[in-house]
Amino acid sequence: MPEHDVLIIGAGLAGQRAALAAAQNGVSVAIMSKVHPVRSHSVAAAGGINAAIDVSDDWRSHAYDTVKGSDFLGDQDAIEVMCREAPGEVMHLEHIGVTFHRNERGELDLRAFGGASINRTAYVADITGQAILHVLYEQLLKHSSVVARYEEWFTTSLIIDDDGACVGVVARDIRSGRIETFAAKSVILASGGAGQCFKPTTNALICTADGMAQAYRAGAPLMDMEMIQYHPTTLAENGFLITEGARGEGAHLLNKDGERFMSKSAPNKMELASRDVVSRAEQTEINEGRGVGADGKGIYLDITVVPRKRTLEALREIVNIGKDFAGVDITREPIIIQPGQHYIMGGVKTDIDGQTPITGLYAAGEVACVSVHGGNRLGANSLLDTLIFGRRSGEHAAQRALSTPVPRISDTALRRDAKMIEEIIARPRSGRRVSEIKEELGTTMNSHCAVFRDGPGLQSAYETVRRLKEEAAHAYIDDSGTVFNQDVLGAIELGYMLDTAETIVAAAIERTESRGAQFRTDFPERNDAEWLKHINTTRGANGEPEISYSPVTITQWQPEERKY
Amino acid sequence: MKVAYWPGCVSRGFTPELHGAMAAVAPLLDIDLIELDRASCCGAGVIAEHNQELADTLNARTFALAQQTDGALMMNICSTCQGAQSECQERLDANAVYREHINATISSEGLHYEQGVTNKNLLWLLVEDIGLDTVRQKVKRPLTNLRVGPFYGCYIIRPAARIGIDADHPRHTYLEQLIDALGGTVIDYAGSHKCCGFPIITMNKTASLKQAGRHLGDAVDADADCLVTPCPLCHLNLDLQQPLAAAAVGRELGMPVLHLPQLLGLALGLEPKELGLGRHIVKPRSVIDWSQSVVAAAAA
Amino acid sequence: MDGVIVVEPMGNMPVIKDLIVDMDAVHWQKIRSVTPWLINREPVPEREYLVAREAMVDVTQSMACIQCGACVSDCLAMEVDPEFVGPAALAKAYRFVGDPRDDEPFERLRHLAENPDGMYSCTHCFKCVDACPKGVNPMGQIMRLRRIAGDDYKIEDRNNGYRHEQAFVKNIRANGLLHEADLLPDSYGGKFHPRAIPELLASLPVVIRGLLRRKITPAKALLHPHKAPKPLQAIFDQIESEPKRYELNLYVSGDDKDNETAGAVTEGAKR
Ligand SMILES: Cc1cc2nc3c(=O)[nH]c(=O)nc-3n(C[C@H](O)[C@H](O)[C@H](O)COP(=O)(O)OP(=O)(O)OC[C@H]3O[C@@H](n4cnc5c(N)ncnc54)[C@H](O)[C@@H]3O)c2cc1C
Repeated sequence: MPEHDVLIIGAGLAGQRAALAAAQNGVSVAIMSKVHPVRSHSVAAAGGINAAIDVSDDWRSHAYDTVKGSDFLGDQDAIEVMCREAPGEVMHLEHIGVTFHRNERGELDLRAFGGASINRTAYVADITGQAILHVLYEQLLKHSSVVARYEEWFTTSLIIDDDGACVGVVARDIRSGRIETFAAKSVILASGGAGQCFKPTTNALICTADGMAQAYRAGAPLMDMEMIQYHPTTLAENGFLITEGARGEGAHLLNKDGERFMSKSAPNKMELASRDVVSRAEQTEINEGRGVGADGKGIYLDITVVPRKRTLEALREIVNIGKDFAGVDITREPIIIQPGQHYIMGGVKTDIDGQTPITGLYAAGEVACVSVHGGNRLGANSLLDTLIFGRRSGEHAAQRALSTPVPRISDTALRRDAKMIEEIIARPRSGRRVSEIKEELGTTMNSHCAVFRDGPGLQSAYETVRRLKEEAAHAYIDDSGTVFNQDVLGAIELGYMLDTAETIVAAAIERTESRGAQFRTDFPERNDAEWLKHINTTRGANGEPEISYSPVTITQWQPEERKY
Repeated sequence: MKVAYWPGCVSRGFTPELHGAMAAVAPLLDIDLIELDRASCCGAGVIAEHNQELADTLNARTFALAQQTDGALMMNICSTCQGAQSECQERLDANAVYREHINATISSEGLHYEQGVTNKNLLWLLVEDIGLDTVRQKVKRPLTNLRVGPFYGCYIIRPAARIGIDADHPRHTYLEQLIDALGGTVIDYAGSHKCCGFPIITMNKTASLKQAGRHLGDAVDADADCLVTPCPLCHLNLDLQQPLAAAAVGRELGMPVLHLPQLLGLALGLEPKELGLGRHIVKPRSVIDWSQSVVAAAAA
Repeated sequence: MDGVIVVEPMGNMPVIKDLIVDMDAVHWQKIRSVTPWLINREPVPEREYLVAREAMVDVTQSMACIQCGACVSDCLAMEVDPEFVGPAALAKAYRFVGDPRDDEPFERLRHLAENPDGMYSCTHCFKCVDACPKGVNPMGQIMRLRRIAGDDYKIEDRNNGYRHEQAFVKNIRANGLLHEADLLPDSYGGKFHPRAIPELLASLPVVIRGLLRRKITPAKALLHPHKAPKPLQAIFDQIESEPKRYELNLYVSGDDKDNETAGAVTEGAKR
């Protein structure tokens, strides 16, 4: 049985940063990922990473923008930590090799981003996530003698001992189908987001909420789960992301009358208001008949106002996306976009060192909720979140491991998971297919748990999810092999997504106000008196989510009306 | 049609039969060759590898010389020239500041390159300007039953965008189209669009010869009578080095390799000797025998 | 072909199952062989390294590699020489050699130049350029590695890469056209260089065969039939004596056409 001081599940930015930080602390470290690390979803991050590095900027300004962006639901102590440590982290990335774009003086260039009061987004063209992820992986290769890598291993569950502490995981080697128990003094969950609960989504097929569901099943609370970010600019054709960097570079949003409608809801920041505000404005235009495209469900994103040369250099990827997937040359004509599911602000509840309420279990990155994003995440704050709290978790987990004995583990969990896999493979071909259930889940969530929500819609979504859970228990798959059996993993992932979706809908039903990404047409106002608090969901004895609350930490910034 | 003609170096060096064959077929196709005798080597990618500006200047000079003639366009007979020159042209045409910088250097000779020269390999000219229908009409001795494998040479087919391959210009299929128009049988084999290995013959001889040997072997296995190539550098590795290539892959090859104008000339009725077919290392016996049998059949 | 798309596993890598190949055994192993991390130039500044804007855009071209392995799959040199470091790893190497923050470009280049299956084993077939979905232009990066190794560091590798390039340039400067008969011995260090002798002996049969077939006339083999005109030599001398090489990377500079503003396009949006 492999044993490590610190075991990290997930090799996106959060996981790799955690691994490197833990290794610096002289403990034995391993990192596990169900895909090759450089295929982690962080690779898709386009626009950039925020840090107050400009001499005229201040981390407090960054923190305030973040608090305001969160619609005052973010925990201000955590936001302060993140924003204060941001410049140092970005400089660290620069030193280890990230090829950030420069200004004419040779310093890091900074671009404008939504909800920010100054240009503070460092970037590498529109492949920022890829550049950082690959550079971290270079560092993992450099430090391969101290960080073991389990590439293409799928974690099936967390192991909790009799004292309620997390002491390891069960995982399947995707290449061979072998299943193993891994013992660890500290486990860091860095397994990313839950986008695949929705269809369409900007998230990759691998973003299936594994970590959230695993922690939830192990008894950890999930916080702010109702806060689902709809990004204002996703491609109408297929939901692909068009980075906010486009608007950062100056692109306009236009309705069918050619009007820059953002002047109505955000006269100062216009297209660069925070994402929840822009997505709502777009959806309003669409709902009121001013949308564009064949079905009137789109909005024009006009990038032609950006100098062509700049677009070709700084927004190369979306030039290609436009060409390849919409047949549009974005430097010459507007492209049709719409709001689309993009990010989950909620996740496994942690403190500022990544510790969850379960001893020995940490979480960082999109899987976690510290909460620095509250009701709405600012663009380019997520990469920052993954790195800052990835590093802090890695450091803390390593320190903890130094004073923790090697856990003793039975093979109960291993036998249970092996049996579960056998059972999935043996299912008769009578029920529904995994893919059908997933499809229904995605479209249901996108219909009822999107930009605008209401009680009856959420209620019906909840019932659908409950039904799908029952169907999923008998859903069949085609591949019964051992080598690269993606089918069986798909069935397991479906279970994770359904558990997670259930908590999302439950929390959205619970919050009877409008704040950040949660807009209830039946409760259209923000209600600080009752709802300036986090909603936590834990798995109840009957398997249904149980709701509890925790306070929002406020340090310097009292809630106020939000105007852009 | 009048063209500014750039024969390249190798066609006048190690494969003189190519230059001769071109001179012989040109009048039959009403191509009027204005030879660019002051132009220099295209650099074959090697000069660009050494110093890009130098390669770009040499080729800007060649283009300027071509533009001084009254040719409708510039024509070459070498895949490598085509590719190396297209690469330089891409840079020269993309950037006015750069172009002027290069023009300043060649101005001492009274030369000036105007953006947008048309530079085509003979193969492209045949298909796009003369037209295969016209070629077909001029065929005197159809290549009936002659089994010909095309061998393009990398430089004339990649990168596709720079080389101008698109739906209207499937330049990576022109050799097949031409063989067909000449009445021959196109042989499909693995190596037709691969690399002959010549560029690394001095750096990694084994790999270089293995490449040539492998493609020749594939052509043998596909029962080809000969290969045809628009590239004299490929010819060097495929023909001149064929004995060594055979040793490298450990099998007998004996595969004749024809230059494009030679194959063309045969079909247009020229004799093997006029086309320098006897000058090859691998004697194109199958081809000569074929042409003799055709002549004999015609006489009978 | 009639709407039929042929799908097959990637080339140059062992197949694990169906379309799945073992990228670790080939692609990643080669990436690992080029010391794929930044070796920092000292002292590491407190803030960012100050580097030219263009330099960072330039290395971003190879940073744009998504490690998909398409270039490795298509590489024609690797097809005959599985040990070849290959396009992806060499592009990765350029990402450091071209990065002004790296401290050991010379060591990196020396390694890749001396390796018999290193940068001089690229056959210049452009396959990787066409295979790359991200515009990385691996072959272009390999050529830049050679240019920097040869021109900036004068690394005289044992694979004759540098000598071949020098010999070629010298040859054209002198003759205007390539004079092949000199190129071969010069690539091995000159007719009388000890290294040249075995190679020349090995190629002797080739030359003799050539002479017999009247491909190579004795005059051609021994004399220079063509001399470069003076203005041509002047071009060589002028450009070679410039203090800095002038290089245009279209990935960085773009095309003049890119400067056109789209203008009236927004009008279209209104319809
Ligand atoms: C298109 C797009 C663009 C974006 N652009 C930006 C941007 O410009 N700026 C910004 O700040 N944010 C951006 N974001 C958000 C940001 O990219 C993500 O929130 C962030 O990268 C998440 O990183 P992570 O490390 O938490 O997770 P991921 O990068 O998603 O990594 C998750 C890891 O967990 C592993 N894993 C998951 N489940 C298992 C399992 N069961 N067993 C083993 N391993 C498992 C995966 O293999 C993977 O390695 C963008 C997001 C998208 C979708």
